[in-house]
Amino acid sequence: MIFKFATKELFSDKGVFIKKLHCPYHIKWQELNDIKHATHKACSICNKTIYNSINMSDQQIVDLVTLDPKACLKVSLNQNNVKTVDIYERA
Amino acid sequence: MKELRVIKTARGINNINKAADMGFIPLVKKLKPLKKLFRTIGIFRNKKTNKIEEAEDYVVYEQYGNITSYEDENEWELVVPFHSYYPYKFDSHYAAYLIPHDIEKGEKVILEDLIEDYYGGSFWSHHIRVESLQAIWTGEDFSILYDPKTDGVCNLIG
Repeated sequence: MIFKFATKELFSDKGVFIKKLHCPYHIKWQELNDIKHATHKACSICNKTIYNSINMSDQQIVDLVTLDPKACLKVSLNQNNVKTVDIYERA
Repeated sequence: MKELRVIKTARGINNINKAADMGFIPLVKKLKPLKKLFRTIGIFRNKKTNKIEEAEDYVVYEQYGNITSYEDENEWELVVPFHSYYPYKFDSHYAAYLIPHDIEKGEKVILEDLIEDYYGGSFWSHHIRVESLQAIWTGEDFSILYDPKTDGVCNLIG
């Protein structure tokens, strides 16, 4: 995946737009509830699962967002499956 | 977990005055760049193509194990010596939190677009600026809730 930090846009490695990361409640990963036997977490405001993208492939994320365009992801800049670009240009 | 009110920020005189016309009280602050967010780079010119590149050292280690070297003097010339600069750009050197009239002392809010600089972790040679944080309204200003353990890491959700 390619993550444009300034605009918070996530693309596949082939440059196909996946989604723009935006949480209206500015939730922190640490504030979310753990899910047993899963690396994902649960958000109690939206009653949704926040998918930890660290071990997900491009295709898994594309499939997830195609199925549910409002699916929420957690992306860390340092994870191995993400190339982070455009750090300083503000949206 | 409770849903918190989001406090907007206006940057530049026109946007601040427009918000004042809409009934907000602008809490105006000067931007103060945090030294920890500064970046050191030099500018190298490629002697064959004349194109330039920014680099934080003569040898640069990047994501995915990529290594770029500027050590070959036949290929690269350091045209701007290594220097420190603040890499984040804003439209104005001051900004304002837009305070709603009904805010209550002690109310916890989200500052969506922080005026103050807080360190949000490092990504290779880049030092990330935190964009939003929770804060408590003291009646005159915000007491910003920054925890380096949770806010000083580069995680994004959405």
